[in-house]
Amino acid sequence: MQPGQSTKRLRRSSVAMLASGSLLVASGLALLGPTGATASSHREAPMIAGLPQYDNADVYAFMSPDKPSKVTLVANWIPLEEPAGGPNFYPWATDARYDINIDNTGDAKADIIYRWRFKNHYRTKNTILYNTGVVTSFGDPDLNFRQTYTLRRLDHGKWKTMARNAPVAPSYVGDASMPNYADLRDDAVISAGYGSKRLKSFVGQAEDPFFLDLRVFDLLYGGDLSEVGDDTLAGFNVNTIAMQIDRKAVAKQYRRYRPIIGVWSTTDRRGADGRFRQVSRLGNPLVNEVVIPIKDKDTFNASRPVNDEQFLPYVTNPGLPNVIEALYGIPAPEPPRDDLVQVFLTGIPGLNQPRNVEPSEQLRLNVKIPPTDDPDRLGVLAGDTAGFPNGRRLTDDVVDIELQVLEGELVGNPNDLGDAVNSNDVEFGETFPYVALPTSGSNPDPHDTPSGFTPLNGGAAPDQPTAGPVGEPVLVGSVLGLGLLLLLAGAVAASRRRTPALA
Amino acid sequence: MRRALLVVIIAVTLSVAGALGWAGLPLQTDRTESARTVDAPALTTSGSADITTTIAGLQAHLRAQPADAQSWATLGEAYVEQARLTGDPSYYDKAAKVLRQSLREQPDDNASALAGQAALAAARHQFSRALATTGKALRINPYHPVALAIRVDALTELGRYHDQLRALDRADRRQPGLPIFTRYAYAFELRGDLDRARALLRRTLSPVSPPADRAFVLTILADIDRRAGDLPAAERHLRAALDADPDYVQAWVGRARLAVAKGRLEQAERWWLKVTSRLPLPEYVVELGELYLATGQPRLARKQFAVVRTVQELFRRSGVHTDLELALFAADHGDAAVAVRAAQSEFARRQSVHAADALAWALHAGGRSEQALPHARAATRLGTPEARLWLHRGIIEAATGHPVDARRHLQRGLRTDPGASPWLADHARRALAEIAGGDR
Repeated sequence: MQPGQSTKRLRRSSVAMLASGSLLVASGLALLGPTGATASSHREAPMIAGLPQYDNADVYAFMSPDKPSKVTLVANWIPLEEPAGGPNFYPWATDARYDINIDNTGDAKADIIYRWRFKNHYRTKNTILYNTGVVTSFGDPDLNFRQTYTLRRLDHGKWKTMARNAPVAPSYVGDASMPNYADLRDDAVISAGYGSKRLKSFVGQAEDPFFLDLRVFDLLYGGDLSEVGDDTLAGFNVNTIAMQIDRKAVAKQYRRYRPIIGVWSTTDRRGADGRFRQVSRLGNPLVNEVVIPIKDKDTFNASRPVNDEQFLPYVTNPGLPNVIEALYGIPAPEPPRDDLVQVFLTGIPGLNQPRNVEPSEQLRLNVKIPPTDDPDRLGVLAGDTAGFPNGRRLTDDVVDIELQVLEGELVGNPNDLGDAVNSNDVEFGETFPYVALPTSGSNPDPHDTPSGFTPLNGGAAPDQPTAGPVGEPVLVGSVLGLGLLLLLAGAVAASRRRTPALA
Repeated sequence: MRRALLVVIIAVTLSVAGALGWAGLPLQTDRTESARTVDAPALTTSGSADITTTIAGLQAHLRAQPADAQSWATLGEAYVEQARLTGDPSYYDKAAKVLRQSLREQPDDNASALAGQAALAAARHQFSRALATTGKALRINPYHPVALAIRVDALTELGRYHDQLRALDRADRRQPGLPIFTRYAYAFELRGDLDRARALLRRTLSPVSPPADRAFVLTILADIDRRAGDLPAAERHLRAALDADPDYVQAWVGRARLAVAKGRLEQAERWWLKVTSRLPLPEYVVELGELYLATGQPRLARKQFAVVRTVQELFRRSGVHTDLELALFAADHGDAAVAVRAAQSEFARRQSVHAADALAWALHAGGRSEQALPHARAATRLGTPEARLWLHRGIIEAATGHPVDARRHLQRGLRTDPGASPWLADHARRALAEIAGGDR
């Protein structure tokens, strides 16, 4: 590659570099095949990256701004999709079950499950091309590879099929192949189900609605970047499942008795024995990054809310605030942190805590609180009870909210910590499915490269030494990053030791 | 969540980083010069990014963040992988060093570093140590995917086949996926259940699987096809594998053996030369040398065998236990006494079917065929469809006065894999002829 060939690559790379410490590494490399010892038994064992097809990204749950009696649930998978992802792009796995789980009784068990399962279709298997010409609709013969899904609903122990052979909006290959991608998205918004259980379903690609500055993660090793406040997920796509349904279909007794639903997404994968097992789980944002230590991340991913008591100590006595206190002198609130238990495990009394709630990690939404025309990114912390941690809207700034809460916002430690990224890089839609259109695979600069940005300086201007924070947002970003990473890594020795020569 | 595609992106990063030159921070390039420049689109389609760029990315990251214990551990795993891909065992020492560094940075609860050490031990064929270390890693993180997989490998190579299946079941319950499916397939293969192995592998394949995964699985499928005698299917699968990844060395190995199976020995020679120039693993060089012997070119064979000795020594010095390979090689092309010593020391460490085979064959070469016989029988106790195990057994049975068994097992061995070493096959045919002569 020639110097200066592509600024987009610089940017893309830097994200990975920065993220590598916390994210890539957490999953490590997996050995693809067995190691063997003899010529005949020798099977090479290539290492592969994690398995993004089975990775839950974020979950959102909110009362629909344009349809106040309807609940919208959005669950994302396959994070960090580089838009130019040919030739295969980002199919859903066909040996997986993608579930949105709802607990509407507060007993930590799923009462309703919506389950999406996928099938592959090819116009011709003679080419590996995703499309063979300009694609104008889901049924276009030029769309060579397509996926469809079956949507089923589990209620009272019975599975009912809500939709069959429903279309998945394809990955956004590029402007030449898909000159009007919005049409393809529209084709993928379907009506499913029947009667009062009728719902809208959308499955397809979207720009990742999560926004944060990933560089904060680097600071936990004492990194010293002089600039945060940049949405490092800008221009990356995710695979999205969204559904919208009348609140009484998911919270039957919402009027008087049980207005609160708990939501989490899971991925089940089929094993060699043909049975499915859960390999990924997500409810509240950043729990597996911030609350659960690395050694228990895999356990958490395989666990069920009903067994969440095993993780309780991580919530009542979190490591992050202590780390921040040690490094930045911001006093950690006294444990046990009942305020965190409410945010992450039980819901907040009078807002989104179900009656007789069994503590478990779910995103809890009170379906009786109407959406607001004027949402505040800090949600409940700013007095806007229609936002996180009462459910989660696409625009809620969960990084800032969680950091402020961890640092005691709810227990008399008001603070304004954050990562200085306050909104997504692209606007969300005003109607279902609300998520932004994906970034085009032909976009030459999908991540909106700032000038002077190189992997080496992580975004700082090239000639300036990165000596210390240059402003309030930087400091708080640094604090967050440092804390997050340390928490994730467990106890990291503060002292630097001699390190072996690289390579 | 959010752990996807990062290797890929890192790879891209590093090609950029390389282009920028990293003034003042030169990337270590001694071993990376030969690596292909990887283009971004190719990488984004691949399940496994180019290891060189992954390593460079981790190195750059660790220069900036040397306290990142997890990244040290990943770098260790990546070095183990690099050793495998390049056949250069000196990466094992580097792996050991950075894994220790990871544990220094984070002595407690560092399952990743322990899993990396287990992978390293397995790669060095120190299977007892690998097994013990996976135990430590799994006590910290019972779901650690690398530790679960290496545990299976260690039990397999130690010859603890019942435990192998239990470990597989556990791994499949906790981290189902291609790494476990291919290990299951191998467990079925070892037990002679090629159909089941094939069915499982086929199920894991999808046209949208990443090319690296496709190449890997298709090559194993082709290997099974060939041993089952279905040469057209083997050909088809290898073609598809090379379509997915033309540089996939194991697919070249498959082509070489398929050429042998078809009796096209010159073609086989070309493929073996291609393989060994890229990846001079002792077992491959031996196969090339034996091909030369079978085609009447002993001088060329001797040259290859000299290479084998050098490479084996290199591996040994990098901490790899090579006794099993050494025993087989010395029994066939070297000093029988050396073979017996090596085989005995290996068999003391593990009693797998392959260790039993090596011991039997070394004892036979040392003129102790009677002692060899029970080990030769033990080597086929699973019904493993590997030609060598059956041919060795048959030859030893012939030498110990069991002509009926010998004939049956020699025939079975010759049927089992038409792509096996033609030199050994010739050897077996001569033994068969002698039995027939003796009958007359």
